[in-house]
Amino acid sequence: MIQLLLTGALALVMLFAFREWRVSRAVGLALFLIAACGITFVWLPGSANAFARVLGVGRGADLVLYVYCVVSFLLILNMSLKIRTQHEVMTELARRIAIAGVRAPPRVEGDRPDAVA
Amino acid sequence: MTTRTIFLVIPAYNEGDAIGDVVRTVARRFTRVVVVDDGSRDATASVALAAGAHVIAHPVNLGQGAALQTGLDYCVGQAADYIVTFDADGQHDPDDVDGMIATLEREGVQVALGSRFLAGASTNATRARRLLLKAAALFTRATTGLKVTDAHNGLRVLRLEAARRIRLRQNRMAHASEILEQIARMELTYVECPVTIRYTDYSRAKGQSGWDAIHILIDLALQRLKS
Repeated sequence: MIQLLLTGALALVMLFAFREWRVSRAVGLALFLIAACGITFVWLPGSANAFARVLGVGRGADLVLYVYCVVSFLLILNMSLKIRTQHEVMTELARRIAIAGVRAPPRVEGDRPDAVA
Repeated sequence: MTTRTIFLVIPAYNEGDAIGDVVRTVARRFTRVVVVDDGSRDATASVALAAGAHVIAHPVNLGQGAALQTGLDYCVGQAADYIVTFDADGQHDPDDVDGMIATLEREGVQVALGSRFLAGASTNATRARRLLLKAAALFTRATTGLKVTDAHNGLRVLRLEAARRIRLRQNRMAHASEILEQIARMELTYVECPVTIRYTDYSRAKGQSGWDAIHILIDLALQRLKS
């Protein structure tokens, strides 16, 4: 039962990864690969231990914990990139408002060009 | 003697104490001074306006890079021949601008970049700041291939075509590196010109610290991840 639940959750992560591909290919790809590894470990628990030993971690459970930390970091990174995108939109909006409200000095100099030697 | 329409863009945030003098000084030579007030909490906008600048006021604080891009957008809309970027804290010498424009015309390039480290330049930067700035220039050389000696100098002259093409997305301090990245990527022609940078207690207090270099590197890395 737990295997089905975990597989469902990791499948959702994979779908999420597809969507995030548009925001950042690096983050999307990393999330997809990690979710795919997770599904493998759920159905082949021995592979987690074997893989952990190859990496020098020791136990599969420890490996999963470390991977969880990496995934958390990637999600924070992804959130940060989304916030930057929102900032870009907000910046453009503020810029247009600002330019529409430009104030000229009280004494306008006219359209005299500057002399260049 | 030829004539050109020159706009000076000065991004400013809480510069009410200095902006009046800076605008009056540059306005003696250049008639079109644009101060982009980046959501200041003090009287920066009214002081700049009274000193003779056109004032564009961001409704919220966005950062120096965002203010610079706003100024570029405005000047491009005004069909400027040359757009000069100039810092608000009084560290630049307006007399350098004429030399930069003359060099830009003579060399037939699209961008003139100020450098405080070329022969003929002058600066009173501390040894620590010099080291930091030279490290930044080396980083820029390594990442963009541009052979610049000063990567974070706010004094630049852009021809209209160059200003039209450059699009700053780094709202904060990383815009200086971003401009150079875009110059390299779009293969805009450029020349470095020796300029004077005079730090005062005021400009030191307002300027960047060593920690800002870390922020700049993180901002540049995040922008690369996005693209």
